[in-house]
Amino acid sequence: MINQLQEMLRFIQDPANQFALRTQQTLLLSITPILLSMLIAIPLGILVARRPVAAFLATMLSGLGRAIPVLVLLVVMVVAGVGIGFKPAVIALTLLGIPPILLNTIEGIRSIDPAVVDAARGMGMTQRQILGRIQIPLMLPVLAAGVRTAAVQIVATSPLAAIIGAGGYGEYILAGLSNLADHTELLVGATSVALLALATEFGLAALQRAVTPAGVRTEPPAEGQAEATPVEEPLAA
Amino acid sequence: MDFLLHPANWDLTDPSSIPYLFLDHLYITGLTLLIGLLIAFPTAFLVVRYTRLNLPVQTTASFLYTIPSFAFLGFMISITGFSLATILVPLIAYAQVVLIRNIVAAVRAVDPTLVEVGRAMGMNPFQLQRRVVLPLALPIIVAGIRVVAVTTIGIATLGPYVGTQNLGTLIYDGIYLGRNSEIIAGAILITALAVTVDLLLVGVQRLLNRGGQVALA
Repeated sequence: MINQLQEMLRFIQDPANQFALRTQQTLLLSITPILLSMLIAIPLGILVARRPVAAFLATMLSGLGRAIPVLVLLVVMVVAGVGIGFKPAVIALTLLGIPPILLNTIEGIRSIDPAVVDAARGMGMTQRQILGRIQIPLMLPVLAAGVRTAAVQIVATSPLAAIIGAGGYGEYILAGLSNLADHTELLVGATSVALLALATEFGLAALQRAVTPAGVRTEPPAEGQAEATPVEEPLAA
Repeated sequence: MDFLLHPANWDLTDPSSIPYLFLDHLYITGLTLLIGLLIAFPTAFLVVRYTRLNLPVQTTASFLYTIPSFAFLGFMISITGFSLATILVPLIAYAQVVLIRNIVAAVRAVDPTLVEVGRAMGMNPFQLQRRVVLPLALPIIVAGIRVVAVTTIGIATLGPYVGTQNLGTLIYDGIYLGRNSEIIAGAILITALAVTVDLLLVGVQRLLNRGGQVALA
């Protein structure tokens, strides 16, 4: 065990293994699609939320889109002629991130009680104030939950992009799978990927709590009490 | 398309032809659900019975779920090598968070009055679970099974990277040999399978929901 850890540390420190480059590739492969999917899904969600037909279409397509396995998304990019490497991987991962953000943007806008908006108007708030002080703070937690799901999914999936030559930690796992005599490379890849995913999950969970206004924060379930919300949509994997 | 339509790839005497790969994919998905449910049901009932277990159980399941599939497979390879367990263990582990959470939520949502009525009618504890709680909880449990089935079909496509063949083999071989038509065949078949299973289970969910409302009326 200790020996294996020492081997792994030696592997990381050996410049021939390009750990810094792989880290940089992994971060780029994660951050770019997260930002792109937010840039696409949030405006789209705002646009369709108040239009029943468009919102229904967006919800349905997002639901079906989630059934498409990630590996399929990745290889379809290659076959469709986008080529191999960074670009097709970013497109596939962006497509992966859009549904949760889109669904939660729509859900966030719809969850705002019209009575609250009326009350704000009654208090003499301008349209701008209503947007900035009522609507955005109220929908932000729901939106943040969607971004967290998308981000964790993207980070967890980015190592698969190595299959289409996009680099990152996945390269270590892929190379490690064909060298079973020595598990060092495999374990370096797997550990790095797992730590990054856990960090993303916990970091964004904290962010989600931070953007939830104190007034709408639900009491944490009492000691040992079950979280009673069943899962209807895929969780971040 | 030519790969998908080529008769040689549907040859039933060849154990790596499309029909067998399809069955392999169904087999691994079915096995995951079966073992997953066999673990999740007792665990969930324990959680419902002893609420103190809830936090540790849910935290462990969520933690396992956060490990990316490719990393999980990497860890497994160093223990179980190129065996079926390497792909099966992560799939079953991923299934737990959704299955346990949904079974717990479903059982808790059952109106205690109905259980009371069952007891008053003279049902024993087993009959109460089997005839009152389970039918009422089933729609939410099936919702969980649906999510798990679709996720499992997707992640199982990584099987060939750790030595288990299924429809993912078409993609794996296609990339390795640079045969685009084989990649497309794999992509179409896997997506079709995932979407079909998803829609089928939505249908089951709808049917069960109607039953639930009738029973309650």
